[in-house]
Amino acid sequence: MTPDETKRFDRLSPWLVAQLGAGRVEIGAMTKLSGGAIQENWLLDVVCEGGQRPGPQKWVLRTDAPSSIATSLSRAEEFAILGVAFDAGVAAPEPVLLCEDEAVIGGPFYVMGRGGGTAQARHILRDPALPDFGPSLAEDLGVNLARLHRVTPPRAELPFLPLPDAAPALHRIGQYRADLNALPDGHPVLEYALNWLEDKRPGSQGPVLCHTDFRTGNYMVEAGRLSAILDWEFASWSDPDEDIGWLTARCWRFGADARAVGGIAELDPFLAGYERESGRRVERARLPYWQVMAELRWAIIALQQGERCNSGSEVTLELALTGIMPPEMELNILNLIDRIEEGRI
Amino acid sequence: MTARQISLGLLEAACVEFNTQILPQLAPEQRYAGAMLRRALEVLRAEAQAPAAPDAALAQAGFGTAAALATALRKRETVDSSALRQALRAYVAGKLEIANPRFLAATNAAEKAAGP
Repeated sequence: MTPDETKRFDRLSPWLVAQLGAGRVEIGAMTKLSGGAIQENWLLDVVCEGGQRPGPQKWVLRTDAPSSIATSLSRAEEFAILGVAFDAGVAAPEPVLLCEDEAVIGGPFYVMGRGGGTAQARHILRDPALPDFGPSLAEDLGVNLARLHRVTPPRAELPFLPLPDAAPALHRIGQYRADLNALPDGHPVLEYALNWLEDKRPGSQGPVLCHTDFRTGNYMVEAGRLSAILDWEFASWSDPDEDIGWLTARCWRFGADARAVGGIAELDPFLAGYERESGRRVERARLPYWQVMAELRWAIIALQQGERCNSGSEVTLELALTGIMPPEMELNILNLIDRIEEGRI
Repeated sequence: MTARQISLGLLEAACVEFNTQILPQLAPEQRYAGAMLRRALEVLRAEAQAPAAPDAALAQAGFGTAAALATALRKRETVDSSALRQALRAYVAGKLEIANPRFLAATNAAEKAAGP
């Protein structure tokens, strides 16, 4: 840690002592994880003497990054979501403590349990054992997503989550048009896709609690098994197929196009786990629609990230390169729509 | 020699120098940043070499600029048609020739292999 960071976390140990009723909390190590354009994540190893959680603890401390984006939940809201998901039997990190007092580390934060292994998509996809564990991992993802989708509104713990003001697909289309309005330049392929999505929307399902960023890269894998589902800041009430479309869209297969489930496995094992756990049969014909929605959404997010750089507010090469990715999603959209329209899916 | 040709030569030399002299020498923890920089240089080079701006494909098909077509689509003044889809495809291909020609080639090959 830098001297500034050491000073920033000066008050963390006494706060943990007070919250946990411990005699002493020794912070053994704190390491900032890479990435985290929207939030900062710190590995936090502590040893607690007495109190609610005696002994060594391996946690993650999550707080706001300097530039977060408006559509993500606050840390307190995310903490509540984690609690609901954890209680529903989803492999979400266990929420441990929430702090909204900015005097402790300079901003709201929470502490949660830590899954083992890696979340890095390229590590998972390049694992030589992927052909062996991929299908069972996909099945486990299906089981976990089904458990999450069993959570339906209203939920007293989630008063901050608005219900969609229309069918979930129409709600999203409205959101994305507003997002495009806030961006410079015109984006005719995305406008074309929005019109197509509006005209071709299927009957709505749900709403259920959706993760809405459920994809390879946002779950951890240890020894070929799912250890934790991460990054809950975009959770919302929506159509359950939105999550499946996002997970299976080409833009989140990391080049492994033949393995529809996030580049790790084909669709069948995922759907087997999902359908067994949920008791709901997923209509395969609906998924390409939600994959178009997913490609569109990622294109808009990439444009927003590029704009953070182009506007001068946060000049990084990573953001600038993300900002030139949308044509990839646009090509995927055009190909998907053609295949759907021509009955090739 | 035009200013554009001079810029192109400078960019080409920068790419060669970076790829052959600097990138191989980077420490492991700098390789990700190095790869990003190489990609940025490739994009700049492709843009400088592009025969026309991607918007030109839209204008040639009678749809005007990207901004004008986006507005017309939002207002539903331009409706779906095979001409529109073709123009959008050409426009996206033009953007990908600059931003990611490998993705364009791989995607087109996969679509061709999948067949009608």
